[in-house]
Amino acid sequence: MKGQLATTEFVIKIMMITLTCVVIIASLLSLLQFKVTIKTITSTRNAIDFSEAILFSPCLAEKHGMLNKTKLDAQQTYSENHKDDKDGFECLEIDEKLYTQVLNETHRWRFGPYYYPPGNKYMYFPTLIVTEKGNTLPALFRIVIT
Amino acid sequence: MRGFILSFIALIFVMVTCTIFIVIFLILSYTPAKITKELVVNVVYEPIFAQNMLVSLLNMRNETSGITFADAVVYAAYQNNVTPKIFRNGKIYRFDLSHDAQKYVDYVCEYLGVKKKCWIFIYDGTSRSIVTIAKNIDNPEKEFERSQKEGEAVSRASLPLGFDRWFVIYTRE
Repeated sequence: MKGQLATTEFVIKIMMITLTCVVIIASLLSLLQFKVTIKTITSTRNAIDFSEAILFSPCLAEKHGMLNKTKLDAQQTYSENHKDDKDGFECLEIDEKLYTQVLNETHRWRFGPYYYPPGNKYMYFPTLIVTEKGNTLPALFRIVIT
Repeated sequence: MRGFILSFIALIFVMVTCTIFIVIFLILSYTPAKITKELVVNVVYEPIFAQNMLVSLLNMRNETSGITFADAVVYAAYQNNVTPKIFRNGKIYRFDLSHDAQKYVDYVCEYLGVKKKCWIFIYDGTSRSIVTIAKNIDNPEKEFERSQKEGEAVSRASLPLGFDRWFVIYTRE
């Protein structure tokens, strides 16, 4: 009888240790949930981040969502004169090649290396162009996903 | 003998449980979560599109009066009218929200590479009424309701205009 009690106590202890281990491991696992690593589709993610940065950049935008026509013209000239610049923007420095455009109903501003990569896909971001007279025109910012 | 069997069963239980958790732990450690194209486009890009559209539209300035769309939306909310009267520089202008918003939608949502379904409206939560400002599809209410039921990626950006009253933009691929 005494032997049986000792065995039961031992089993209970083992069960307790197991449950403790389970709780500790479960806590570690829940901590792991916070670890999110971008493994695939970095180009799409990068295109979104680059575009948001450009739409905020002082060399193009007056404020978020509003691009200045004078600045667009100046940056287009800069991009044409600096073919080796990977992004074509004076105020940005990016290691990857960026192919971007700003489009409106009558005009198209092009930045970055002249030749577009073949078979590419685009992402579009709605924006506005503010003219010299202060008028606003609907526009789109387009980035090529390479 | 009975004690030995119980201890043996307990030991096996502990080993199996620990092994399962260690295996799961190792799998999770070496397999980082993947951010798929669908996730990036539906969760990141689509809402950005709607938000950028809202920000840009609110900054649009009427060529004749110089009044911004954001100002006109506020007047529209107070006057409960989508063509509010606005006093500016000694003159009274009638700002047509639909005209300017439709102009924006016609370019931004209809561009060949974009082709999105867009709907701009003012929603009053108290009366549950919707006043459409601009759209590029027929029956947008039914269309977006159907899209949401079917789990399609519908993006929304909104601006509060008062208690339970909103200026809303819906977009869908």
